[in-house]
Amino acid sequence: MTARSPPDGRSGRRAARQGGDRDDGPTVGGDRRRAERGVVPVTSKAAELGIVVLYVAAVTTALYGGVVPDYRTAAADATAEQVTVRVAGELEAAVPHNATAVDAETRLSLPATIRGAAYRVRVNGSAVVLDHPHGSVGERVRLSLPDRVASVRGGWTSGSPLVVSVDRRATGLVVTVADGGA
Amino acid sequence: MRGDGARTVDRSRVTQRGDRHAGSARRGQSNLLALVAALTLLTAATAGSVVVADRALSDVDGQPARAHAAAAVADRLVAADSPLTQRDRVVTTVGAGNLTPAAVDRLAPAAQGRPVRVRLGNRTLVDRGTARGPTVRRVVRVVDGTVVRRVPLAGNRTVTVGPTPRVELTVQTRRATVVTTVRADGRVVLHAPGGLSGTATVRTSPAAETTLRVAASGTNGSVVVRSTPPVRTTTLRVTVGSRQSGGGGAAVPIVDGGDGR
Repeated sequence: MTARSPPDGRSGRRAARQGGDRDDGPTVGGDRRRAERGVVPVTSKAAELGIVVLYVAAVTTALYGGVVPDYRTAAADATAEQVTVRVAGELEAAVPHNATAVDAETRLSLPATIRGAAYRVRVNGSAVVLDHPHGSVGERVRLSLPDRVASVRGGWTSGSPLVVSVDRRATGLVVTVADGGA
Repeated sequence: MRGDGARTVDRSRVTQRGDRHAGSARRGQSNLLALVAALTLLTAATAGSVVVADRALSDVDGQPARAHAAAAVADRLVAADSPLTQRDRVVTTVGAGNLTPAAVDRLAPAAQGRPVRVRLGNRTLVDRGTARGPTVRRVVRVVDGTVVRRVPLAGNRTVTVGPTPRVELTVQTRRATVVTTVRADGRVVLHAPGGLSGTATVRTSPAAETTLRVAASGTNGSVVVRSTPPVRTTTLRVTVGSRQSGGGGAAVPIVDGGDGR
């Protein structure tokens, strides 16, 4: 049972096998079967690990490379629409039903940022427009106001409350949008 | 050579003993299968959630603007200065009949370029495009205005008026013709053997139609019947749909925003 002599290598191993002992100590370097038995689980685990890593990388790239920014922009656009509609609705509601002698002020809390950036709401006579640094985010809502409103004007930058004021002038009512201060 | 020999023997031994290597290979493959199944499920779940998010976002897209436009149209239509109304929230039938899509656009520019449907009770006043969106309701009172009917004595001398508490009759006769009797549903309500003249008010049923019959001695002249139907309450429903996008819905606000600068 000397493991050193080449002709006896087989018999020695056989003896070891038959003994049912898997770990039979130092053996001859040429035992390939044994060597494969050690490698197979390692390679298969490595392959599984590789596949999982590749998969996670592919999914992450697909999500963060396209899907998530697209959805972020789409959600920001929806929020911009809601903000603009809210301002427009507030402007229309600020004009009283049946009066021309009015001096009123309404404060409105709106999101400070959309898609992580400050934005601006302005009124250009007939519409409320939301400007956003991101090119795909923006909204425009046309105002529906009675004739006794002479003009609607002003602008507001996000971060402070928005103030809608209605004033009486000789030509009619003037509706102004302005920053409310900190 | 020796290695080969060893291998042959070894393999035979393995097949004889049969367990460990074959089992390990099978385990490895089943692991791989499980991994593929797990990744497939994960991919399906990811794709499914993206689809769900997409649907949720497309549902909400444009909804506030449509609701705002519908509310703006409804509010402007029932306002005191609307062509539809006599006073605040009092709609005249004549005004409602004359409403056009262009008038709606002029009143409420928010509805420009959008499908609009305006209904007063069961009557559709404006229907432009297929308006799919939130419906805004406003309770209004409807006045039909005074209905004037002329009953020539040369005709069958009857007229049916709608449900109204009273009607006003004016007798206009010439030459020897005189109106002697007026009956409402067979009941005598006005009678003068020498002939009626001037204007008289007759009570009628506010709940049902009334048929007035005039009896006269000749055929020259007529009776003018003025009736004012009672004011009724009904609902004005306004639905505004999404703007028809010529090319690319997302580009519209930016282009519009640009021209206002």
